[in-house]
Amino acid sequence: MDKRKQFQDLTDGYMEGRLSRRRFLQASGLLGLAGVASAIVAACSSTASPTAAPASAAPATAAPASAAAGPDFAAMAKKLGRPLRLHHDSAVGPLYEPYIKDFNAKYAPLQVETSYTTGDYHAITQTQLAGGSVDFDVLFADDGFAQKWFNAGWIRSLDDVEGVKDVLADLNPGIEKNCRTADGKLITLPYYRGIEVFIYNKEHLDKIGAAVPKTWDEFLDTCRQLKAKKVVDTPYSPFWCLQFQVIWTELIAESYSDGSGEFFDEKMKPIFKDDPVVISTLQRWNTMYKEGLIPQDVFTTDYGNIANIFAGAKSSFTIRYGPQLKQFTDPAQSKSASGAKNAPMPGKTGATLDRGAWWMMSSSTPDPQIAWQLMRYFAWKDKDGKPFFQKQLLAIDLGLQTAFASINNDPEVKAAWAKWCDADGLVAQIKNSRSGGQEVLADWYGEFQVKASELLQEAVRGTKPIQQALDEAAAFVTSKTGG
Amino acid sequence: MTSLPATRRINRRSTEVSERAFGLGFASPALLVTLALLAYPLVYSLWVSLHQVTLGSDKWKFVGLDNYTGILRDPLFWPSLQRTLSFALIVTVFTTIVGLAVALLLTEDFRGRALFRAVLILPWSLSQTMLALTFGWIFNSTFGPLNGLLLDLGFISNYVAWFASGESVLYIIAMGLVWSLVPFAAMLFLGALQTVPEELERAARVDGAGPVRRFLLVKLPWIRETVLIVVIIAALNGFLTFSPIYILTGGGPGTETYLLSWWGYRTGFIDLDLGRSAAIFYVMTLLIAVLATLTVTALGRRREQ
Repeated sequence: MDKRKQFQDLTDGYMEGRLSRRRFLQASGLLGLAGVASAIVAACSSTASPTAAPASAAPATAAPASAAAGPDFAAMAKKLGRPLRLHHDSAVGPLYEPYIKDFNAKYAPLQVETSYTTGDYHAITQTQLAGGSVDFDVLFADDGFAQKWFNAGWIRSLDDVEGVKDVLADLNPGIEKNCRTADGKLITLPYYRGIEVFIYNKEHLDKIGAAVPKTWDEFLDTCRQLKAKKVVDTPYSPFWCLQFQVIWTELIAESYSDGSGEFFDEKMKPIFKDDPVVISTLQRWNTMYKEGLIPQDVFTTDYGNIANIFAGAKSSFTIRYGPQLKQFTDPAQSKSASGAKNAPMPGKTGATLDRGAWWMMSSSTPDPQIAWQLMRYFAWKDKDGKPFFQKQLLAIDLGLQTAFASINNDPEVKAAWAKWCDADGLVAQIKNSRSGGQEVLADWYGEFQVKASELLQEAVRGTKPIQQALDEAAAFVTSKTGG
Repeated sequence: MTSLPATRRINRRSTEVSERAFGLGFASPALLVTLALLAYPLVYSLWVSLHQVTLGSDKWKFVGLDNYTGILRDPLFWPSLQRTLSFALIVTVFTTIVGLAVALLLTEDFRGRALFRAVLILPWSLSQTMLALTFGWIFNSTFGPLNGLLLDLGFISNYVAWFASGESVLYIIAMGLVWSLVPFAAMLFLGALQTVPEELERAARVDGAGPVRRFLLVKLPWIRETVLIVVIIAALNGFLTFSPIYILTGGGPGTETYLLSWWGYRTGFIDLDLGRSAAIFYVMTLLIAVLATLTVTALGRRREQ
């Protein structure tokens, strides 16, 4: 999810470009405190958040479950004997608070409390799960962890959960296969979907009288002009960081846009290494690095500070998903707000990558049918059949897509998007998007993304030949899959 | 009467035994805690390093020294080792020299010395996490205050990407670490310098020794043990540096800022390969032990001479 927002709230001052000494000290102090808090929270691992309302504090307006048709929440609460626990990274804390309260009101006396981690969510969560003393009921993960966690016995299959078929029936076509293991077990439900969007600063392009590039050659040429005419020093601020392995995501998105094939075949064999489009994409990246068209330290810059480069009007192009564009168009958070626009991805097909994260149910949950109440609320609809979380937070507030066409096509959602972007353009880009195959579920995929991201950085910086880097990335997959 | 000395001997012996038991009784809680917190994890992690084991899996396969030979063959090992050694060396040398210089300065009488001493302690109170965040901000290439300052002063014409290469990042991290360790080193040196007998210095002065000779021939030999302590502490900090890499680079660009500590973490907690990770940390432990032994022996030998 959007870990960056909290971080960027702290960094508003940086968007001003120059800092006062006082402001710098304030920011440093805050960050230091955040760091210390991070260390403490990491050490304490799954400390339950006090945000959850105690059962006794449930609003009086909540209808007694026994009076309504459907699950008996009082019996569930009694059987569980504790609140349900939702595990997530702490960046979503303020964003989730209204929904935690909403759940606690609607499902009273069944309650939920949060278990948040700061820092490297996946590494910390894996360690917690391996330790075996966790009591999460529902948790999430990005691509590449579900199968591994399922194999380790940390998450359970959802096939026996009553009501899950209703969610599957509502999913967009093609997504269900990515929720299942190779042998067909359902182990995840979609959390959100997000497409990589081409974002540009119109005011910068106007200064040199350039149109929005439609091909990658035009893009390169426009970048050179922007630098030569001193509009910006680094026209492109790509998210080529190791953090969250976004560089790998960006490679897929840019390659798709220029007509590359799939990166893995149906048997999960890596076929990207011989794809001429993948190679030409990396060659372009290498050229841009050598010509100083991108910040030279982008490889070690954290996600939030890369976002700050575009938001601080220090670059003219970037590629990232909806929540980022929404932030760029917010004058309170971005100096580029008046110029930030979305456009179709350059390239022969103009396609982009559609990716997302996944909800899972912990194996340690005492009663899957009780945990399902929570999972259903966050993955689909609440008990009244309304997709409050999915529609209000993910689609409307954050500008993400969901796995449900009914939400993505909702006029209210589109109207919300239109406030900060070219909504028709965004919808068209969503239609022209592709998602990865079943490799995203494989137990080696998370590890592979880390390895591949390092190799890509070496290839772009020219410390390793492009073909060698791709061969090594493919060899890593082969070493894990045994052929 | 003749039995009196024998009785005394027996009494003395029993007193010695009871004193020993008494001492052991007092020391045993600490010994038990040390065994539980130090010896057990050391032995357990050695055992882990001899197995192929994935975090979260119950399947352990004994592989002998395969994890050790595996990491020695890994292309990441030698560059990471070389980087770790260089990094630790830089941190150790600069911490010792600057710490000593600051301590010598503080032995002099000057206006504002008390304030300087108080302010000096501040960097030491910072955690490595906060240190990394602070230096990350200062050296940020696009919005960092250092670039703004240098540009305003006319030293640079374009912003410098300080974190563009692994080498420069490691120098900056080393600088930060030295900055945070110097106060501690200076305090230790200051304490030691204050124990140098005045007569010795006065005698050297009478013999015509200048400040440099007095430092080299009188003060430095006197504070040799303190130097040893500072060297070991600084080297340990250098070897075990992790948070700044975690926060600032994630090992990048590419793998250019991989130190052994980061590699061990990544192997254990991202790749989930506990056996290999334990082997990496054991290699680190052995290296530290060897270097500490060499340092202690070298300084001890010089003292004997």
